[in-house]
Amino acid sequence: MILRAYVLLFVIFLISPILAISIGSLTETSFVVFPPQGISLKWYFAALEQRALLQSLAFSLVLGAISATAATVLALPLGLAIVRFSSRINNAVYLLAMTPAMLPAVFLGLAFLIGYSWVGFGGSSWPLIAAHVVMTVPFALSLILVGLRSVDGSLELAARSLGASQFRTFVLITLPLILWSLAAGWGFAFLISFGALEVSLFLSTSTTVTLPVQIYTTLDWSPLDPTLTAISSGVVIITLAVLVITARTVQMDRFLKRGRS
Amino acid sequence: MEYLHVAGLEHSYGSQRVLENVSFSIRAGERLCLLGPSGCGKTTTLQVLAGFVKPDRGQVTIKGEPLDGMPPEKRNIGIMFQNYALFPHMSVFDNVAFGLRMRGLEKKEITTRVGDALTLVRLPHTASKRPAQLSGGEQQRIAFARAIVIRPRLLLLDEPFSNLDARLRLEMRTELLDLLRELDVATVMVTHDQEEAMAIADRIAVMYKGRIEQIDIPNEVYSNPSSLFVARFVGETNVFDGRAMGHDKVMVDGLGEFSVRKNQSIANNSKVKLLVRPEHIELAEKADMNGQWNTVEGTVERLLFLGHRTEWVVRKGEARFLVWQSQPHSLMRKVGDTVTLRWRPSDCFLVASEHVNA
Amino acid sequence: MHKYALSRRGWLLLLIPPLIVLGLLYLLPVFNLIRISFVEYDPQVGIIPNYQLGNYVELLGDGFYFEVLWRTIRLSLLTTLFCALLGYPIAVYLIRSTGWRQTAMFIILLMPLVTSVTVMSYGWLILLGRNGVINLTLAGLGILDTSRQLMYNETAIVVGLVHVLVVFMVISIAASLQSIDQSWIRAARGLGASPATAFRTITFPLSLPGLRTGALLVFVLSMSAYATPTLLGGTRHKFLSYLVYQQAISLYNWPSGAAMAVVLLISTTVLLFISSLYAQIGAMRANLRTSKTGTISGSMNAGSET
Repeated sequence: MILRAYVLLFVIFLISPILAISIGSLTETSFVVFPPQGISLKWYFAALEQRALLQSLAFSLVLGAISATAATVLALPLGLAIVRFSSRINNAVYLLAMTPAMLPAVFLGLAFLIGYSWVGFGGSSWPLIAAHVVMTVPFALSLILVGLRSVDGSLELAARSLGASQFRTFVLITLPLILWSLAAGWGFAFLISFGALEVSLFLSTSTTVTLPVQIYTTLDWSPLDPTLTAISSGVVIITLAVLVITARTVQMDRFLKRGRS
Repeated sequence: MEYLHVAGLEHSYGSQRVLENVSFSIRAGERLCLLGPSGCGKTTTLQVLAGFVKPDRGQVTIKGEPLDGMPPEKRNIGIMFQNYALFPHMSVFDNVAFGLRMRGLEKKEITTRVGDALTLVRLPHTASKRPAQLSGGEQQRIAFARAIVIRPRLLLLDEPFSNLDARLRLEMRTELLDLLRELDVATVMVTHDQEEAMAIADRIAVMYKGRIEQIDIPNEVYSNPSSLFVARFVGETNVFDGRAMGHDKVMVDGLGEFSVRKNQSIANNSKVKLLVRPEHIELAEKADMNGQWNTVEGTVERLLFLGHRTEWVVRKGEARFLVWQSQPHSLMRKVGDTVTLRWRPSDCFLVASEHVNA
Repeated sequence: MHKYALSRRGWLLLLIPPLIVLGLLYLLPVFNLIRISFVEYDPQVGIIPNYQLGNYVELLGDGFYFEVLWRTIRLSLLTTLFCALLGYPIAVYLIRSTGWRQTAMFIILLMPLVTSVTVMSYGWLILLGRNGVINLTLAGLGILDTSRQLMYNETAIVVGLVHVLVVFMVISIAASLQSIDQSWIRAARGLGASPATAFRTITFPLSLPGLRTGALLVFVLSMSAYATPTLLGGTRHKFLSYLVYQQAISLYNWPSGAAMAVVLLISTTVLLFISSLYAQIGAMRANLRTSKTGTISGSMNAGSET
């Protein structure tokens, strides 16, 4: 009983800022107040007219999709190599791929800024894409590893003994069985890229602004602009949608089993 | 005529030697069982045959054709895995058809052959089901159908009964034996259960610490074990330390002299172990005794009624005898009674003490 | 039968392309950053390719810099502590619940993590600001007569960090709780232990590895936090990450920014090393105790050490 009550309080704590944004965005006043004065969607329409905000939203969505796809493409062979072959080198490979999630974001951001400036930016978005790929590989990889470890290795051996080559075994047996983890890995990679601020701050140029960077800079000079609340709650909705879809493909408690292996 | 020939397999995982000079051969249609405790190398041997493990040394040939370096998918060897390894995302039909599709067979032929295989294992109605919808015994039969539908040159069975409960195990044992006899396919089976091995195999290879300790027909392995390990692993045995006197007598410490089956390989006066199976020892009335039996007089220390037999522990000095009697009521005795044990010299044997490794 | 599903050649073929990509896009920039932290910088000339320790020496002599470093460490430790205290019961709830409740709990826990930090901080601004919900509520109840600034202080930073990072703690603890065999607890209860005693002697010691992993993750992530402290702490309560950004972007002093980033990384690593050393000493002590009294609890702790 006490536990239930505590859990309820905790959940309120977790979702209160999100609720505040969503509800606050419905105000009719020209600054955010709480509770909102009147209920309207007018700030959502206002947000739709702010080109800079919309452009950064579109940019973030595309950036997230490209980075997540590239990260999944990189993480799949890494995961296969790590799980299906025993070698000490695999530990080093795993560490290399996972550390971007552990290093301070500003450390990474500055490293990318300095490193990529050798090649030159020229207002193009490749540095952002490259950085987001590196940043999201750990998330895609850790889910793919969960997927691969849940596939019984003897299934692959059985396919081999029945006459399937390594490649056909992968396509016909392994891939269908880990598809959910690829989807989930992609979803998480997308969300990480979509929400990333620090690294993007270092790499954004005037033509390549991600949504979090846009919101962050706007927040600095007009913190109570209700357009911001509107767009922010839009972000929350996108995030929630991806999260729920991801959660449906993954049985969430597989996360817990990862800790055991 | 040799069909499968395995010569001098050696293998190590890191510093751990798992196979030491493993050699055997089997005839066409013969069933060989690799029997041994876990870690004895039997599974590694199976993996070498399947092509999953490349041995450090040694050669495998089928009908004289060497298999070295041949990938698993080219070997045409059927395997039934311990956990069956049925593809969970495919129907029973697709599981059984998998190997045929890999061989690029025509659709019509695949349908016929899968149908035949499913009929053979008496599960034709399950074709459209998923493996998860089948019982353990059904899954096993599908795994068997999948392994044999490709008409393999060799069939490998990895602990085929370990995932079944006790009752089903007995049932499937007979069924599998019938199927194997019908198919007449050369088979290598791995198990740690001596009863399964004896029931299925034409010959048994007992493995221990990466070596084959003995390879022979089941009856010989049981009644004429070549080492203490084999004697102990295959059935129960009473073991006593002693010293050989000639080839057919032994002096056991604290018990006296006994006659044994002749064993030319035992050197006179060497340290030996005397082995007597518990079912070969009888409880005798004093009056029955004559010179042909070995006899020992002792005290009943424990008596267990187990239904089909009675288990006795009889003590003399430091030595304890395990005795199994199948007619429990023939002699009414109780704990503390003095009894006479007897057994035939032909039912007991010596192994050299140096051979001890169990 | 689980060996050689992949041949050595296949393994190499899978490994090499991603490694080349990660090497070029990730390793090279990281080593370059470390290299840059040693070169000289002059505001007029820019970078002078002359390797020295000047950037680090300058940092060590700077009182302001130390203040920020100390705040970063202090608040990160506090965040870790609160995450552990608040997260443990949630982890217990998470593994006890099943079905949609568990999925919903997961989603709620992951929300703050995957929602943009800026958006999240903005929510706190609405709640904690001078005209925020909490102020108004407290005033409405008559507890406060004037509205008070609840933002832009260290408490707000810790609240924001705990909010985002507690999920790591919960999932780590839940993973180790999940691996505890319920029969051990039943056995303890059968031997006469109360639920509390069973928790103290069985569950809690066995969940320590998860607690440790969670603490490690939370600490590392909060040491490197940028947006939450900047947006919730205001200008007077900076975190080290902000100084790195300021040096590199506002002042164009890449070498000094790089040196700070390296110091941030090293201080995090050193603190982690100290804590693992401490845990090892604890385990050794427990082992010594075990050999004297013959209890097994010590060796269980040592065994779970990773």
